Amino acid sequence: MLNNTIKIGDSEFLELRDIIYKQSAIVFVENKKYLLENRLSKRIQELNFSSFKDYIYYLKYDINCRKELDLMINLVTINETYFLRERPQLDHVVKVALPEIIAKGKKSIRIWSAACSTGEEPYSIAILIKEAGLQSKASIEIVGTDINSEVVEFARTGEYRSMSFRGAPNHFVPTYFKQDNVIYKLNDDIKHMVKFNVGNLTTLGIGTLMGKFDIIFCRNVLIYFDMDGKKKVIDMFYNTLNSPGYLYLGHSESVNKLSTSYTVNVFGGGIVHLKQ
Amino acid sequence: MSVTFSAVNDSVLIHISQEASDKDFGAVLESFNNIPSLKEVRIDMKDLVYIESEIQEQIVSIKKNVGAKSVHVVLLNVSESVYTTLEMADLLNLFIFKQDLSLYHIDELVYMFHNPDVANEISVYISSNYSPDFHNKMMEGANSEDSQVREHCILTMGRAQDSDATEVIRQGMDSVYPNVVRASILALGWLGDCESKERFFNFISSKDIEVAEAAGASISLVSDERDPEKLRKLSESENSNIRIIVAGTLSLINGDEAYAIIVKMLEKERNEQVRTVLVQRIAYFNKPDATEMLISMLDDSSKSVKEAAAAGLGRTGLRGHEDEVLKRINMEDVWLSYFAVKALGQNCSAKSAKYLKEIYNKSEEHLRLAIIEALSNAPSDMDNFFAERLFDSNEDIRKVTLSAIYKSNKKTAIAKSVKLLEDDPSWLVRYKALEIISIEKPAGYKKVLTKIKKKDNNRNIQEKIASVLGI
Ligand SMILES: C[S@@+](CC[C@H](N)C(=O)[O-])C[C@H]1O[C@@H](n2cnc3c(N)ncnc32)[C@H](O)[C@@H]1O
Repeated sequence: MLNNTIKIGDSEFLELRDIIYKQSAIVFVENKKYLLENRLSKRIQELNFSSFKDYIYYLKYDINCRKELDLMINLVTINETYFLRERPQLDHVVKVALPEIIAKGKKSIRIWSAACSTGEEPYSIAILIKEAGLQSKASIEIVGTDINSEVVEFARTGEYRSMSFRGAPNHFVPTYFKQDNVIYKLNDDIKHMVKFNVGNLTTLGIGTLMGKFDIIFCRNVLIYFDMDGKKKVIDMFYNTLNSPGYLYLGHSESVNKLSTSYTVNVFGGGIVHLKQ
Repeated sequence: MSVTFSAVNDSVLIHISQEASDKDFGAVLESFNNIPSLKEVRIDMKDLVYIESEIQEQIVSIKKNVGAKSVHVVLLNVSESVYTTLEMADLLNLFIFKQDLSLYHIDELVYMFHNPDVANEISVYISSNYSPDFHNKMMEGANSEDSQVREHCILTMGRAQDSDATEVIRQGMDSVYPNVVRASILALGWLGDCESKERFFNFISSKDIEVAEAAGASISLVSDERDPEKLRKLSESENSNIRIIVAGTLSLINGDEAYAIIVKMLEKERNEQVRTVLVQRIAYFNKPDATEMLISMLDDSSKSVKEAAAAGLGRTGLRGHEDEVLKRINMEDVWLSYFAVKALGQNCSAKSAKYLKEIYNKSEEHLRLAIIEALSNAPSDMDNFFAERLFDSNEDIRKVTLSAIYKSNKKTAIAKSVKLLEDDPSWLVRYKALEIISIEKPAGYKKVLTKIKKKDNNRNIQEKIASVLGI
């Protein structure tokens, strides 16, 4: 509030958009200019710059530009999320996917929340797994990754505010959280079920690095990518999934037209893409 | 009805609900024939969370139906996921996309306060169209349990200068939610609520940095002559965050007394981060003393303080201190030198120009960029210097040089732009060239652009040409 908003010029916007795209596959459409202005003005002024042009030079020429690129990505990603978001898919995991995998005799199962933001998604999965008593039937590892190192740090703390519970039923918060003033602290048993790491979905070889998974969640992130970016990520997931493997994308983020490898299975209130 | 439409003058507005099927479109298509002077079809898609392929086909057929008559089809309030679906089907080029918040019900607008990226826009829309209905709704929201709704309703009442809401907004300062407290402080500042000033002062010490910043901003809006002294006391705090907020507040208040305090703070301050902020803030005072102070800080032991001082000189102007700035340019401290060159370049004298040309070849690339920009304001003829730079292997240097030429000699710039648009390997340079051509519109430019459109695959270039040529 003590800083002004710096306006971004047309060609500056296009160039910065290019830089962000190359780094993350995120595409900022024309009407999202204000978002870059709102989110980066403070940082630009901290660095003593007065324009986006200066900042772009900094991103291109400074010896610390790598670090600054990461910091910039932290500032511009959209991290909106909440517990039990798009619930039918989460229920499908515990009622259908996991039982099917367990029935095939698998004792060790891995789940990847591939753009987990502040952690509500993987923790929701953990909570539902616990509620369904599935931990006794197999060892289940849940991994959350995100390109934004700040949200990953936040996720590790397991501390939330009421905004994160807008999709949750009444019993949810008192059962799994301890309230401390306006902060809700996730119980340790759930917290320990999820491991977090920084991870960029567009980094070459990320699939190999992460290892094989039985279930992948990648919701509400591909909407920000262009076709090429989406296709690469969807293909990477295919190679990363075991057979059978389950891929859950966000509402309306179908792989339709992007890949013919998956079988699409529509169930009440959601879609899952299967690797058979 | 799943698809409704209404016609006003030359424009048709169609609304599509999520339940719509292709059969619902028959009457719409027919209606176009009854409006011979049709200019625009607007399709409100705010209720489409996703789009079925049959609906997509109907929208395309609307476009086909009216497209021949050069009627624009504008898709309004398209959600991110529908936009992606249209993009996948390669349909984006067929339509114009716009947002029209007037099509939303007031409850829908309030619900959108949950999305932090659009909340501000919604708030500005409501406050600039403020009505008794909006007032009532915002009052209701200001008492909501939902802290996001409460926050933005309060901000909106502040923006709308709704002084009837003052008491309700004051209560927001007691909320347990920092976002509500911050919003209340800001809104009361905008309303000029002097009675809350004491509370603002207390909030300067808030642990939540955004609350403290809001308090500083609001104090500056309701400040009187006694406030600098209160800030001086706060400036002695052990807490460096408080000292940073005080510095910002003093610069917003401005004036001689505020300046004297900020200078005293700088003399005593040991923390590098706070010293940097103080120097940054000094640049906001429009007085010769501030320039001198910044010049003296160019020799500080801290790199970040020196850089802040040099950058600040770009704001205050040099006021006759050219020599002192020239001699600080060096090859080790590149950003300090970058800022110094920018400050010199605002009014580049012949002497500075000569020096900058001399050091050009020894300089790093980003310093070179600043030098070219500075030289574009020089009194002497730089044609030869610039002409050479257009062949540099660095795309930014070629781009900045083209801008520099454009400043001093439009005719040459246009000729160079046509050439660069044709064959420069970097889209950044071609885009700059295209900008110049589209402003200057030289004879035959349409032909040039049409030709480029056929062969240049860069999306930015394509879109810019389309918008210049109106296709
Ligand atoms: C809107 S959140 C979605 C969170 C969660 N999956 C959900 O559906 O609620 C999108 C997340 O994607 C992350 N993201 C964006 N680009 C990414 C990339 N290239 N690699 C990994 N994560 C990315 C962002 O940082 C952000 O936290």
